[in-house]
Amino acid sequence: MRSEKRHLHFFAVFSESISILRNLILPLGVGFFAGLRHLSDQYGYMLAIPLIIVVFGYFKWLRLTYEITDGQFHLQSGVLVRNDRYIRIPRIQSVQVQTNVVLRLFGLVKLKLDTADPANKGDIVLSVLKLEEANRIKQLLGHIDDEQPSAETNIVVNPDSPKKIFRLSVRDFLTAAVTSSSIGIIGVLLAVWSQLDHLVPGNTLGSSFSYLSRLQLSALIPLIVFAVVVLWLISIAVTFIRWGNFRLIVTENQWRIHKGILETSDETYKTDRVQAIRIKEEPLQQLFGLYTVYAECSGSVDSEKGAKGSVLVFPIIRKKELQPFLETIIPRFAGSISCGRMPLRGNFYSMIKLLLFLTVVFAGLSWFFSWGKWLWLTLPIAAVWSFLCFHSSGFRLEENRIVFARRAVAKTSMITLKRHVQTLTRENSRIQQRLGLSSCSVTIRSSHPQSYTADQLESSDAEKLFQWFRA
Amino acid sequence: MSDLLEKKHLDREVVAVWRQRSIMTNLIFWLIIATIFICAAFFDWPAFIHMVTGVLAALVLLHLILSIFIVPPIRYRTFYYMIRQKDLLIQEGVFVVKQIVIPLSRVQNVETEQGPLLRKHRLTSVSITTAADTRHIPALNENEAAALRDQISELIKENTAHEI
Repeated sequence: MRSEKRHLHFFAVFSESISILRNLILPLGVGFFAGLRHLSDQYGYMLAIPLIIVVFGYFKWLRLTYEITDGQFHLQSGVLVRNDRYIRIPRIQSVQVQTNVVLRLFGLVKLKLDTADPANKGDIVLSVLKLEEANRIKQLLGHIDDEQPSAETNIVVNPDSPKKIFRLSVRDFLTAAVTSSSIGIIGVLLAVWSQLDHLVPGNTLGSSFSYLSRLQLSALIPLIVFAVVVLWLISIAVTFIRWGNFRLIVTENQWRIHKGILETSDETYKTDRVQAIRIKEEPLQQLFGLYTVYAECSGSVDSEKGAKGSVLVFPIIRKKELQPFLETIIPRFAGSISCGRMPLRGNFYSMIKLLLFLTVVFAGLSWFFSWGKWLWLTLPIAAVWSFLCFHSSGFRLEENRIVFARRAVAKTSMITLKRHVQTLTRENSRIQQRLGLSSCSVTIRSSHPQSYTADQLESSDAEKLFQWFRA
Repeated sequence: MSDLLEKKHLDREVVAVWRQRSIMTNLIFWLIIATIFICAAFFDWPAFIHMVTGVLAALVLLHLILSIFIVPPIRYRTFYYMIRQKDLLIQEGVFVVKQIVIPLSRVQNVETEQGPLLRKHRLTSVSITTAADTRHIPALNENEAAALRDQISELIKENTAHEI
């Protein structure tokens, strides 16, 4: 099987330049607006930046070639430092095809090859390819039967009859959009708002805040409500674009996850790569009894923003549907996730530790700054928060399966099996020893090595866990 | 079998190594503090800089005392490792005592390493890497380290790993 060296599609030059520019625009833009008044005469220099990026992108494109020879995928890249990578084809675990709005206009796709390397070594990404070329590569790599090109049609033709297809129903979708907390946008918009004063010259918007403050309170409240509703709608739209048309197709030993409206992505994961299942409940989701399911996989994954290198398996699942769901998608992790509580004295210990730390910090701050004294008001909040964290943390030990539950803001339950645990650590400070408490943590192999901790376990439980792992 | 289950400690020399290391880092800290102090005196920097350097100096002094007189002996006393048939147990820590279990079937490689300071004391550090993280045994004498490395790699062969 031979094939000559090939370049990416020429459009790669532009699409990569655009993505670099997009990353630059925020920091540059802030600096730009800050110095707008002084820099207006040097405006021309700004135009040189995209040009440099495009030229550099051109050379990068010129130097990047790939070929498939003798059962190996060979990638050459690098403008100044040459980089040659050979990957044996059997080592390629999955091939992923993605596309976004811009690429789709030209009938182009992005191809990603997953290997068992940890993510920091870098996956092989062929950023812009013709769809036919992508299919040709897939064929050469022997992955063609895994996927159908889904760019043209939404009807799924299933090669090896799937056990089950999970779709995100409209109702679930709306709940997902409503409960997933994209409220962070509010902060961003507020920041932009405060920048507006600098942006718009003259007095038209120049005193937007003082204008607001002169409004009657009765007029202000509808305005705020309106703003929140708009933000909410925006976040629903964002979720719609990210998660719309979500499909999880489960076959005998692999998952195929399709998601996105404008930016679609198709991912295939073999289930034997899964090292742990993570079940997350945002506070709002908890109110309605909903879960989001993530998976930790070995090797590289295409991670969603905020998912920290794990795979989003399904965005919304109801409490009572969770067991059948796990049973279907990955039977070896299925089982109850209800956990035993941690001992109460552990709660007090960690609460006191937190409060002492905060007291020292606040004391320092209120000594030096006048606003420091207001910080003391957060102390009871911290205490309540610490109590809530304790309330939802716990662990569960079965024959070869463990569940760790804990909370920072969202509650996370982690399920893993003994054979996926890489190392187990038990630790206790002198005070913990005195109180008969220990903390245990397990490390899991994943694209970003992760460790999960159960704090303030009863010492006897920690010992049990320890013996369980050593047995 | 009997020598497998024995608790093994680090080489005694390691205490001296740790002390020398912390003296070196402390020297750098003191140089920085001295520079700030001299600059502040010569260039009429505001008074609060003096306060900040004062606090810094106090902290570094505390660090010096801790890291030379208190920490190394405790660290030496708590540290041990133990090889069983199927796993390696390491205990470490100063104020928080940690016990780490690494099943030999998860070990991917064992490395020995020797910096200039360790070489001077004829010591070697051993690090054990799994798919998730790396653990260190800070200092053993050269022969023991080599023996440990060979022993672990021998035991890995017996406990073959299941990939993925």
